[in-house]
Amino acid sequence: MQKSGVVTSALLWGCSSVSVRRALLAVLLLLAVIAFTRLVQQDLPQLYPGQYRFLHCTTASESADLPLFRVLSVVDNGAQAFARQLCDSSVMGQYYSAVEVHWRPRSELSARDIVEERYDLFWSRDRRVQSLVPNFDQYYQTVARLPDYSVAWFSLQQTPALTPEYFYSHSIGLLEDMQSNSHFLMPLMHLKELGVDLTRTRIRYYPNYHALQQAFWSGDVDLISDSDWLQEMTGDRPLFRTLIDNHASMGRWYARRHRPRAVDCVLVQGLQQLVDSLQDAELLVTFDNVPEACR
Amino acid sequence: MSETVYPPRNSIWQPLLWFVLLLALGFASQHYGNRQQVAHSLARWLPAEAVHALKDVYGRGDPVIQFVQRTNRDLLYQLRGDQCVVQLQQLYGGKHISWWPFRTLIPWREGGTIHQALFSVRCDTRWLPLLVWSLLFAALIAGMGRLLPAPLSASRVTWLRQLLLEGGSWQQAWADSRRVLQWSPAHQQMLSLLSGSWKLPLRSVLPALRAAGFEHFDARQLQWLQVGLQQSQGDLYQALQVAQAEDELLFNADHGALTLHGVSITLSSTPYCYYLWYASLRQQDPAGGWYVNPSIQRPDTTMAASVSDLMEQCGGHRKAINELQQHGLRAKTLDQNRNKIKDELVAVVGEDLAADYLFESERDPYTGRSRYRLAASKVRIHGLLPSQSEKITRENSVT
Repeated sequence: MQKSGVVTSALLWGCSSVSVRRALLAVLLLLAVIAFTRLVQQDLPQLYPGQYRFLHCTTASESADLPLFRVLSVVDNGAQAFARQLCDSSVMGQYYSAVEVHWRPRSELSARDIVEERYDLFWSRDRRVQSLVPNFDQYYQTVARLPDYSVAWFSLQQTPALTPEYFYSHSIGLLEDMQSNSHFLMPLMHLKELGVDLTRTRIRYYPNYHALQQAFWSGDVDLISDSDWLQEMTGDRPLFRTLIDNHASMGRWYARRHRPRAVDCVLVQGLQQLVDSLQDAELLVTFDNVPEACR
Repeated sequence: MSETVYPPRNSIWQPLLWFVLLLALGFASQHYGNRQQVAHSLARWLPAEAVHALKDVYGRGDPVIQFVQRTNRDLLYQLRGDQCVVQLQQLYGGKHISWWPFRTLIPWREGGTIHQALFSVRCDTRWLPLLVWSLLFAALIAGMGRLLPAPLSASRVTWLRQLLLEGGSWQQAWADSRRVLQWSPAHQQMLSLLSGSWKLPLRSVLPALRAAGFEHFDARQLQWLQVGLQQSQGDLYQALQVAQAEDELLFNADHGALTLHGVSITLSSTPYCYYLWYASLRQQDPAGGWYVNPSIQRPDTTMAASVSDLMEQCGGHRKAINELQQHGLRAKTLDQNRNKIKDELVAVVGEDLAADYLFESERDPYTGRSRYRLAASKVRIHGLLPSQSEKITRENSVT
C-alpha cells in the first residue's frame, strides 16, 4: 500500500472515530484548563533586594555626567549623616554628581579595588593595604589617622588572670572575622605570648559583633576581648577587665591621590563628625595631606 | 416503535458546574501562583543578601532584626500596588524546618549549614478577573463539544475514500462528499449506481450532475435517468438529457420515428400507425379523444377509411391497409396492436414509466363496450398532413 494511501486511511479513520474525537476533546479541555490557570494568575513585580549595604544620595550638581564619590566603611553607624553632609556640600556638587557610602566586611577589600581606585575614600589599616598592594602609596594617601585605643579581656565574674590555667578553665568568645583586630587577632596573639596551648582552650566564634556581645551578656562565654567602649554598654552589671594592649591601631582613612583638592575640607569635616558619632568620648583625629586651613 | 428519551441538551447545569469548578481552580491557582512568584523572586536575591547582612558586621543592634525590618519595609513598598503583603517572619540557622504547604521557605547554604527564611504571603483574591475568566471558560468548555465537528458518518467516509482514491484533493473531496450527503437516499443510491455499476468516475460525474440540477430531480426523473443510462449504455450525458426531457410523446410520422420522454423507441410499422392514430385523436381533443371499440359483429368502416389513409402516410403494411379497406376497423385488430405497443414500450422504459404513455380505458355508457384513449395528454406529431388529422377528428366526432 502506498504511503499516501496509509495516511488517507488513517485520516479517514481519525475523522470518523468517536474515540479520536473524545481524545481531541480531552486534549482541548486540558489546554483550556491550563490556559485558564495561567490567565487568572496575577503578575507580581520582580522583588529586588533593598540597598542594605550602601547609601546613595545626589549632590546639588546640575550635570549628571560628573563622577560618583564612593566611600567604603566597615560599619553603617553614622553613614547616613556622613552621606548627607557630603551631598549637601556645594563644593562636592561642583565635582561629583552623587555620593555612595558602602559598608562591607573588611575581607572584601581587594587589591583590585585599590589598583582600579574604585573608592574615593575608605577606611582600613596600614599593614592591610600595604600587604594587598606594595606600592599602595601611588594610588592613595592617608587623610585621617585615628588614635590608638585599648583592648582588654573582659569578664562578668572576676578579673581575668593572665595564666594559661585561667584560659583553660574559662570559655572565650571571638569573631569569625579574621580581619578583626580587637576580636580575633589581638586576643589570639596575646594568648600565644602567655604560652597558652590553643588546643586546650574553649574558643567559640560568632558571625557578628552583636552575636558575640549577646553571648557574653547572657553568659554563654566567660571571656571576650574588646575595646574599652564595652564599658559604656555595661549598665549596672559589674565588669572585670585585664588589659591586653593600649596601643591598638584604630586604622586610617585613605583618599585617592588623584582628587580635587577643593573637596578636602568637606571630607575633613565629614570624617570628624563621623568619628565623633561613634562614641561618647572625643577622639583625637590627626588629619594628613590636607590643606592647613581645614584642620 | 420505541422512543429514546434524551436528557435536555441545553441544560444549564453543565456550564454551571464548570463555572464553579473553574472558580475553585482559579482561586487556588491565583494564590498558588502568587506564592510561586514571590518564592522565585526572593530566592534569587535573599541568600546572598542575608549572608552579607549577618556576617562580619559591626553595626549597633541585632543584625538579624535589622535585616528582617529592612526587608519587610522594602517588600511592603515594592508590593504596595498589588494587594499583596509579603513579610519575612523568621530566619532559621542550622536546623532544617520541615516542609509545609502554606509556608514560603527560602533555603540557602552558608559555611556548611543550612539557613532558611520563612515568609508569609497574603494576597487579596482578585475576584473580577477570576469571575470573568471562569465565566468565559465555562462557556467555552461547555460549548466545546458542539464546536468540534461530529465524527464523520460511515457513508461520508465511503464517499470521501472513493473521491480520494480517484485522486481528488482533500478540500474538493470534503466539499463534494458533504454535498452528496445532503441529497435524498434515492439520489445517493443513484450516485452509487453510477459509480458502482456503470463505473463512471465521480470526478466527472459530480460536475455533470450539478450542472444538470440532479439534486432537484424527482423520483420519476431518476427512473428516466436509469432508462437513459441503459439506452445509452452508460453515457451520462445522454442519460441526463433523457431525465431532463419534456414529458411528451413525439411522433415523427415522416420517418416512422417515436420519441418517448427523450427515449427513442422503434415500433414495427402497423402498431406505430395505430399508436399515431390514437395519439392524433387525443391531440385533437385533449379533453376527450376516446374511441369506442367497434362491435365484434359490425366493424367500423367509416373510421377504417381514415385509418387506412393514415396508414398510407405513415408507411403501414400493405396487408394491414387492405384488410382495413375490405373488412373495416375491427376491435380485435385494435386490441392486438395496443398490446404490441404496450409490450414494446414496457420492454424499453419499464411498466411503471410506460403506463403514462399507454392507454386508459373505460366502459362507454351508450354502447356498453370498452373505449380507449392515449393516457398521455402531451403529444406532438410532426410530418402528418393537417387535412388528414382534421378528417380523422371530423369522422370521429360524427361517430
